[in-house]
This record gives sequence, structure tokens and C-alpha cells, in this order.
Amino acid sequence: MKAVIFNATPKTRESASSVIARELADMLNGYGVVTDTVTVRTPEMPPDIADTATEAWIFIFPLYADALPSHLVSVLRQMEKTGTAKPVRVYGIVNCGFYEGRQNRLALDILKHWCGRAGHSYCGGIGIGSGGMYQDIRDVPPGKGPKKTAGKVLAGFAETIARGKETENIFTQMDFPRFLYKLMAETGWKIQIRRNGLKIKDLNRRL
Amino acid sequence: MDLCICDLPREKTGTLNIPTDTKMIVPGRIHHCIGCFGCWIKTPGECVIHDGYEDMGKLFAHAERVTVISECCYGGYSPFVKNVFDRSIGYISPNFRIVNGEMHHRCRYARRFRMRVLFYGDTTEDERETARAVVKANGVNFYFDIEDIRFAADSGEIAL
Repeated sequence: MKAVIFNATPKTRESASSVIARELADMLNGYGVVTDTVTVRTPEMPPDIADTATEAWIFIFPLYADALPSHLVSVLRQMEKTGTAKPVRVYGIVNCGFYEGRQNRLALDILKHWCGRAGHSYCGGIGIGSGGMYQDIRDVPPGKGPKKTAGKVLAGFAETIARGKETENIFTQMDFPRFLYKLMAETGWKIQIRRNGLKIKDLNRRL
Repeated sequence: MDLCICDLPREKTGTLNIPTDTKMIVPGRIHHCIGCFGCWIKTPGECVIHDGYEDMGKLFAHAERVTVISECCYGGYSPFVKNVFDRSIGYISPNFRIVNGEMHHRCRYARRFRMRVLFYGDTTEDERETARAVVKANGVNFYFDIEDIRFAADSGEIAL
């Protein structure tokens, strides 16, 4: 079986979506699934997606303003219009900077509606919260430490994909206290703004 | 000030009877958000991509009412309107607060604006339900009060 993983982060440097894409690819390869990871960083549709050997598409992307990043909406519209030789099974993994994975639910609903329009089968997704730390702990193996639950969910999702099955949407987050996540994130903003030569109070600057 | 974010070409907005003193945000050469967070940590409140759409946070901050006219795409906004929202997060603070048990961003400006959203295009009931939920979620994160959410079968049937 062949699956294409669309890593739809617009970031050029490594991101939570990139780490999740790599972890999922490793898991799928473990089930004998041949994976091809395609980066979708701009509003232009990637070439050669109409590969008839592909049975599953997995879209991995960050939550932007409660939904999909705009460049991915553009790409999905082009993919809907272009079509493929045959319907594929579509899965989604959305990560957000908010603590709760459930905040990704509307993005997965939109992906599901796209499947209805484009003639593909929506087969389930994962919403991962506290994605802000996913890239920072990229070397922690899935299923360990803060990625204990999310890693297990991802492993189960990989098995679902490899077996050609469907799943309900699953929402999870890092095994890490919310108050500490919030504290670390806000401390991170303070460090970054000072590195840019500004003051901490500028984080709340009004124009 | 009233603001209107509209994905229709400027020549098609003439029939919508939008007041002439409304600030119009219409499609142009807009770059997509690249997730750099520069609008929070480099030029707080303003996007670092200078393409004419960098001031959205400031425009929201001075708007009394915002009207969004967008094709409904799979239960969300059209790529252009979504792009404008993605490029507007400088309007809010990077810091967090907990609302109804969920983490959200704090407001940068101690104010709210009114929002009405007019979707157009062929939609299913499920898509309309998702679109309403997206606008409500945006209302929590962008600190606006929803005045109206409507759907028209096509852009010619939009009535303000």
C-alpha cells in the first residue's frame, strides 16, 4: 500500500507538523506502507498528486484561526477541481498551540466536507493540543514522557491507516500540566521579544 | 470606522450598497501567513509581510463593525478571507487566558467590535453548521460580538 503525507505547515524551519509527519511515516513504514511526504508550504498545488497507486492521503497541518491555514484551503480547492483518477481514503492530523486538542475539531470537519466535495472518503483524524511544545521535544520518542498519550494515539492511527480502516476523530494533548504549558509558552514569548531588541511590555503594544 | 472584508472583485462590490466610508479589504497580491509570529515578537500588532495587508490588526482595533463577505468553502471562509484572518492575529496578544475551560489568547485591545458574516455559494447543511461554529470560535479568539451570520446561494443574492 502507498500513502502520501501532505505536510502543510507554511514554516520553512522544522515545526510540530514536520515532526508529526516524520513520526507517522516511521510508524506506517513499520506496517509495510510505502510513504511519500509532500510539503505544501504555498497556495500552489503540488505536482504529481494524481498517482493511481496511492490509496491514502494524510493531511498534517497547524490550526490557523480556528480552521485550516489559507494556503491549504487554496490547495484543496485546486485538488477538488483537478481530481484524481480514483477516490482515496483521507485522514487528517491537526495541531494547535492551545492546550486542548479538541480545539482542532472544526478544522477536521472542514477537511471532511472537502472530501464530500472532492469525491474522497474521510476516514478520521486526530486533533493534537499543546503543539507549541511538540517541536521542542522532537527527540522524545512517541509514547514516552509528554508524548505518552499522543504517541499511543498516533500509533493507533497509523495502524488504522495501514489496515485501510476508518476511525472517529480523536483529540489529545501533551501529558503536561496546562498551567505549566501556559507559563512556559508565555515565558518563551518574553525571551523571544527581548532577543528582538524590544521590551516585554511590547508584547501588548497597541497601535 | 466600519470595515468590510470581501472576496469579490472590487467591480462586483458596487451592487452591494456598501457605505462609501467603509474601509474595504478586497483581493490583491496578498501573501499567506508563514507562521513566523513576527506580529507578536518583532513588530507587535503588525504583520512583518508588507504587501498592503499588514495592518489588519490595527484596522480591527479601530473598527466598530466588520462585515465579511466570503464564499463558503467546505464550511469555512474562502482562501482570500481566511488569509486576511490568518494575517490578523496581531490583533490579539500571544499570551493566554482560560475561557470556559479552554485556553485562548488574551486581547491586545480592551474593546470588542461587531461582526456580521455573509457567506455565499452552494452549501450543505453540515457545511453551514461548521461555518457558523467557525465564526463563533473566531468571536472568542478575536473578541468580537456576532451580529449576523447569513448564507446566500450565490454572490448575486447577497443583501446587506
